[in-house]
Amino acid sequence: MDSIFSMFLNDYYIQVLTMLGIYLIAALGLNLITGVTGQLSFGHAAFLSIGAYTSAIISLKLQLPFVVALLAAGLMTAIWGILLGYPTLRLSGDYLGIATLGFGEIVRVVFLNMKITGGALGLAGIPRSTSLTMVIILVFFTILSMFRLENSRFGRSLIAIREDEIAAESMGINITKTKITAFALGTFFAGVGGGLYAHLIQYLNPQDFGFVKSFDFLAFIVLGGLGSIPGAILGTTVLTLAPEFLRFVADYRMMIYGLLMVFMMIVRPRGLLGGVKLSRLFAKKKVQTSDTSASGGAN
Amino acid sequence: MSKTILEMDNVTIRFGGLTAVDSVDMKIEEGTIRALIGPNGAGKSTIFNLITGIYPPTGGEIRFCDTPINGFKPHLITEMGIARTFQNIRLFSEMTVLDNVKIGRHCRTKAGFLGALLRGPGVKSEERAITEESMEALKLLELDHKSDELAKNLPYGEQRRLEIARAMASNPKLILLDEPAAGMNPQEKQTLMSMIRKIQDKGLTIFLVEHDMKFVMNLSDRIMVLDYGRKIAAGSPAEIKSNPAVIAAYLGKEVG
Repeated sequence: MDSIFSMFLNDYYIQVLTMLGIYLIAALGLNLITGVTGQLSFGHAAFLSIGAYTSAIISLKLQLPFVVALLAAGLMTAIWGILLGYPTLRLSGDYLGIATLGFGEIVRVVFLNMKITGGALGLAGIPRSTSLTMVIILVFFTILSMFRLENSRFGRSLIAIREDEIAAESMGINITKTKITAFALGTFFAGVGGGLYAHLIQYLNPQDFGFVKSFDFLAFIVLGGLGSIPGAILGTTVLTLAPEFLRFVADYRMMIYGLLMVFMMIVRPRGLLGGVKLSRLFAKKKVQTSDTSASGGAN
Repeated sequence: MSKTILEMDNVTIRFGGLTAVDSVDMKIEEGTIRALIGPNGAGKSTIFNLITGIYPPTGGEIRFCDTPINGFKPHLITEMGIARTFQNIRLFSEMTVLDNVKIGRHCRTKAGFLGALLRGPGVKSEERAITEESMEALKLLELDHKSDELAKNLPYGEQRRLEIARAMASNPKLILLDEPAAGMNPQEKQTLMSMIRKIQDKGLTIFLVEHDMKFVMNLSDRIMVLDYGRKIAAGSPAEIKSNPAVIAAYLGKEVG
């Protein structure tokens, strides 16, 4: 299938699209944490880096197959998600944001000083195992997972926590456990994204996973519309591809970026697709017919 | 005499120097309607928050069906069979009416995130049961025709009823209603009263805080009066109406 892609697209586009897919996987993970469950996380890039280094080290030192490295990356990241979540998810809003911001910086500094990660020199020579086909399959898998998670008993409890924590707790939801589970799932996808990233770029440096990158992911899902799967996809796509097409005005990129954000907050404060749900898109026809029958009954 | 479902034994809570609830004793019998009244700031909602585990008491013991529940987390207390509504409506406003009620079923069901991902037959049939039971709770409160609307789009009186439906969905033995009639017009209050009677007929015990005296006097079997965190009176509606301490708390003492 990769050969089919390379018939129609040059290497540059394949690289950009593969990167977009990786960002989509990670952004959908963050959407579960911040968009659906309402837990602010400023440390998503750190989780991406944990996955990236884990998978890279497994490929380089243990020479295990790529699938194993990817799965291990996801699991390792989820474990760190739980370790961070357990003490911090009792905090709310801004406090959780600050705690995750601190965690992100700690992770970056630790990778900068560890021997096994190559320190400031970075980790080079990672095999290029990530392909566009594989990323596309994983993106679909991620979207399906997110859709199923959201439309379930578990997903309802996540949304309830976002909407009103005290009411959720009073209705019988174990909020600490539920939040940690959501955090673990969201970071799992960040870890898988990190593993794919490592095996695409083939070189890792802690500086690539700083606060700015975490902020990028937040911008993706905020632009698209918090808590909306189509929104997260649109936001990530726009903000990943736009810089590529705006290279000719590269000097003004951040300015355009900033203006776009300000404009968005004025025109659509809830994001481009804020409040749009996949299940509602599919169910639209049904809802409309039931509406007409209801009004018919009232007459 | 029927059996005691909820018992408060010398319960006290202090916030810093303020004693919000001071050595309150109370017994509620199964299947009855009990009202809690008192002036603003008397500690009525605090008592609800103590029973549902939002605050642990500073002293004393709360027993539900003879089990002490001091210091239990709110979600465990709900699981044991106490559900509540809130004075300042706390619905999940971005969720549909039906999904709000489905949250009430949460503690009676068990599918986790793996079940959500794999969607096995067990999970699917559980979800169908959740929908059916939630619709039943909506029917009881006459909201079933609004199941697809977002909770935030309901008129005020219906939002209050949706809170009761959500609480009912958790199959409680005891339901705490915090000012259920607040902001309702006389007609809505009448409807609500008959709905509360229907809930009582199902064998539930009801404990409610309400300011509307007509509502309270018509509905409750027994009334407890609270003032500055202390119990100042308890008895039947007729007894409470003529109790001098209650009149003093509400209207002030006669001079001289």
